Amino acid sequence: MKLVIVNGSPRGRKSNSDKIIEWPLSEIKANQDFVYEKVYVTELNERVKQIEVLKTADYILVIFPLYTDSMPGITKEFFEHMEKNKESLALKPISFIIHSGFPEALQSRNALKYTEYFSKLIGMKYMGGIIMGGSEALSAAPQSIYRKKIKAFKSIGRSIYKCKEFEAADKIIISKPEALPKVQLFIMKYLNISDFFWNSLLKKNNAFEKRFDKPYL
Amino acid sequence: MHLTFINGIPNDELKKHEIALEKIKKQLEKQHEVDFFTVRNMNISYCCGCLSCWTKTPGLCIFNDDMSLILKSMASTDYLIYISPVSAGFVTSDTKKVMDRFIPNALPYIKIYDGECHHPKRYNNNVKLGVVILDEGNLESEAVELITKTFERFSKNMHATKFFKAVVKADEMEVLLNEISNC
Repeated sequence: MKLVIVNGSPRGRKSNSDKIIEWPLSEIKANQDFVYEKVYVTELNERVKQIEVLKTADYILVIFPLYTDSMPGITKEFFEHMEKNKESLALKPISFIIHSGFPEALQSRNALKYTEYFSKLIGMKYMGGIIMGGSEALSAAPQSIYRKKIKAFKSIGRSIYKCKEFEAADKIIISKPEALPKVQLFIMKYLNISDFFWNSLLKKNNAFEKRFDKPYL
Repeated sequence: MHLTFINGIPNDELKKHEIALEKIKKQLEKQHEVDFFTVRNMNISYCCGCLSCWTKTPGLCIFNDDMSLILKSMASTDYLIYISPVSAGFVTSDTKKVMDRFIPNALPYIKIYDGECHHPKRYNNNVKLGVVILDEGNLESEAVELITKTFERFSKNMHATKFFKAVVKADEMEVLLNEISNC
């Protein structure tokens, strides 16, 4: 089985998408009949080659971060190329992983609906979609807090390898929380935890004093 | 009013729509300050996700390209209107790239608005947000619905005071005039 992974992150090879994709991949890499290839949407000049790679796939897995409520512009541009070549991609199984910096899955629901619609629009076989929030913290947070999600991602990997639809239970574990619980909303309202994260980055870059700058006024 | 239009038509194939838009623009210019940006004629890179605009040079993108003209307009506009045909079931990548590149005008912090996480705005102007979906006669209702929901969410992220949507054929562009004159 050949899996082609479309990395839909504008950060390319340094993306959280590339880290997350290792979780399902690690579970199935060892299978002797399994091969995979990655294409990066950031490589804009490679579209012709990349479509040729997609044509060789038995299964296509697309992963992207949520940018202003949908796929990033550069990823949308890639989708336009897929649409132009839909005849040669018809009936291939495809699935999607959407991750976002915001913690709640509800932010990505509409984008996920779009991926299902897009798959049908270009005649591909939609196998499911996953949402994961809080991905901007991925490099800063210890892997241990993702233990349950990694386990579910491994199960997703097996579903991909067997070309089965995603298990509902895995999707739920990975997407939690759908919305922020009231307690957390209350805490976030009065104790701005995220401020600490951003302020420490701003201070590191000697830009803290300029954080509220309005350069266009 | 200060009006900002983002025209995401990707090529020269929608002549009728574009001629109609040009007429509307001329009409509006009589009474309003109009910034009309045609993305395909501008040099604008895709957002690369570096977050420099939040953590290194607050409010300024790492790319010094034509997007700065749009960001400047957005920082003081009263009404921001995206115009796009449908491609691959969504707004065009030209439209989407301008949506992505908006983030220098937001702050990095996450605050709670209506029970959801969103970023506060960097500038104080109250913005109305509109999306005009161009109908070439082959629109699928599912695409319209998905685009509308996306822009509804986008308007929350922009703290827009109003959200407006229209699906228009080339000869229906006057709805834009009506909308602006009702504000």
